[in-house]
Amino acid sequence: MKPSLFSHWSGTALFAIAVVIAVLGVRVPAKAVFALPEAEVAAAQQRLATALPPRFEWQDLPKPTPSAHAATVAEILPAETTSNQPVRLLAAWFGGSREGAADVSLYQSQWTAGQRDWSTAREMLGRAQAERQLGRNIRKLGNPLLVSEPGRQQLFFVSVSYGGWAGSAINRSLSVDGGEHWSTAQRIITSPFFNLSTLVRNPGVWYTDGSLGLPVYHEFINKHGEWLRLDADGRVLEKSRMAMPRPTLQPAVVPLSGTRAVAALRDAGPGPNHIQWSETHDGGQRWVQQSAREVPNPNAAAAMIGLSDGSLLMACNPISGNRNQLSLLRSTNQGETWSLVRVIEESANDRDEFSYPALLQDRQGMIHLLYTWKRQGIRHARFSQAWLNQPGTPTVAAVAR
Amino acid sequence: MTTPMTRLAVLYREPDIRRRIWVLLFMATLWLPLGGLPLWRYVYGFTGELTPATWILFFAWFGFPDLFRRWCYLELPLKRRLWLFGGMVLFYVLALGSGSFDPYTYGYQPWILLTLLSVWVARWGRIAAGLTLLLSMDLMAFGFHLLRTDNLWDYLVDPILMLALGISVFRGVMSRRFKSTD
Repeated sequence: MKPSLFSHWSGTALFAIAVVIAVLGVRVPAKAVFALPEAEVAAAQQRLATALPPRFEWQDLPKPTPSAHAATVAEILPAETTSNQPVRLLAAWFGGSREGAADVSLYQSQWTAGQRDWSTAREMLGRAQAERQLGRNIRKLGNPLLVSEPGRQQLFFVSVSYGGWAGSAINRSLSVDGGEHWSTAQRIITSPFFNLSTLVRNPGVWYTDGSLGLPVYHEFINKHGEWLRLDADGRVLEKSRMAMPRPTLQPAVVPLSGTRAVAALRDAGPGPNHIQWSETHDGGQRWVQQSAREVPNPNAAAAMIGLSDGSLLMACNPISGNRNQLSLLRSTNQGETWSLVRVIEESANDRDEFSYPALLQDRQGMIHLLYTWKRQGIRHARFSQAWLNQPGTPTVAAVAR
Repeated sequence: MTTPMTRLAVLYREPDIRRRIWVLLFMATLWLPLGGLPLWRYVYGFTGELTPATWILFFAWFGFPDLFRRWCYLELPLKRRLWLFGGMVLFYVLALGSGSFDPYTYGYQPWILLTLLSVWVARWGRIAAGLTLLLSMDLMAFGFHLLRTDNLWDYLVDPILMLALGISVFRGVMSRRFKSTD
C-alpha cells in the first residue's frame, strides 16, 4: 500500500467535522404544499368576478423601441390591500432593434384600473447596467418575468453571456415600491455546467411556507421543462425535471390542490405539434408526463391560469404552422379537454405574429391578457368572465389524445 | 560574470519556473480591458464560480509542484483518475438533459450525496487522505455558503476540474502507450 502524504486520522476527523458543517448548512424546505386561497376568499373573488358585466377592451402599450416581445404582467399588491383600492398592473417586456440584439433592454409600464392608457415605458435594465450588476459580460437580455406579493415585486430575467438562448441563465431583482426602483440583480445558479441554459417565462406558484415554485426550462443538449423552488431570498431549495419524450419548453403551471398542479408545455419537437402536459401530485417534487392535449401548438408559448370559477383558461396559438392566430381556450375538467372560446387575433398572413401571451386575473375578477403584437409592440386585452361565457362564438371541442 | 538576464535565462530553463512565469503572464493579461470590461470578467462570465477543490489544486500545482506531483502519484493513479473523469462526464451528460434522471437535483437536499461521500471516505479515506482533505474543504465551503450556489455538486465538481482531469488522463494514457511500444 502506498503511504499517504497526510495523516489518515486527522483527515477523517476533519471530514467528520465538515459533514456536520455541511448538514447544518443545508436549507431544508417545509413540506411542499401550494398556497391556495382560503375557501371564503375564493368565494368572495368568485362573487366579484361574476358580478362584472360582459366586457372586452384592448389597449396597446407604449412602444419605445421598434421591436418588443415576451411581455409579463403582475398585479401590484400593496402591503395592506383593501378592496376599494384600484387594481394596478405592472408589465415588463424586452425591446430593442430586434430580438437578441445588443441594444435590447427590459422595459416596464404601469396601468391603473379606470385609466385608459399605460404609463410611459421606462427602461428597467439595459445590457451595460446588467454587466455592471452581475459582474460579467452580458451579450443579450431576454424574457422578463414579474412575480408579485403584498409589498414586494420580484423580477426574474434571462441573460446570455455567450452563444444563443441555450446559454441563458436567470437572474433576480426586487422592488418594494411597485417597480419604481429595482435592487441590484443577482444571478441564480441552476445548472452545473457553467450555469448554462435555464430560462424563465411563465409565472410561479406560491407555497404555504412563502417559498416560490418557478416553472423554468432548459435548452442545451435537450429541451425540457424544469421546476425550481426558491426561498424568500431567491436561493434554490429544490429542483425537478419535467421529463418528456419530446422536446418541450416554457411550462405554464396551475395548482389544483395543495399538492397537485398541472403544467401545459410548448411543443418544440417535430410536427405535428400539440400542447404537452405534465402533472405533479407531490407539490412539484416529481412531475409525471401525461398525454398531449388535442390543442395544436406551432412551437409557441402558451399561458394558463386558474379562474376564480374553477375553470382553466389558456391563451395560445392553437393552429398548426405559425403564430398568426391567438385564441383563448377553456377547460372545465382540470385540463383534460379544451374548448376554443374566443379568437383574440387572427391574420391571413402567416408572417404576422400574435404570440407569447401572459394571463392574469386581478383581485376584482377582470382577466388581463398581454401579448406580442407582430413583434412591434405589446397589446393588452382585458375582459370579464361574463364575456367569456357569452354564447354565439364558434366553439371547437378539443379532447385529450 | 553572470548578469541578471543570464540568471533569468538559467531560471527559465527550469520547467516549474517556466510554467509559473507563463501562468503569471496569463493572469496579468486577464486585467487588460476589452470593450470596457477587464478580460477576467469575460472569463468569469463563462466559467462562473469554481469549486474550492479546483482553487486548492491550482495553487498546489502552481506553488508546490513537487508536493502536488507526489500527491498525484500517491492518491490519483491513472485508474482512479479515469473513474473520476468518467463519473464527471456521466454526471454532466445526465444533468444537461440526456434522459429523465437529473443527478444535479440531489445536490440541493444532499442527504444521499453526503451519505455516499461518507461511505467513500470510510472505505478509501485511509489511502486517500489528501482527497479526503479536499472533500472536507468543499463540504465546509458548502456549509458556510461561500459560493452563490446552494447545490453541493457545485462545490464538488466544475467543468474546469473535469477538463484538467481529462488532460491529465490523456497524458497518462499517452505516456503508458509510448512506454509499452518502446
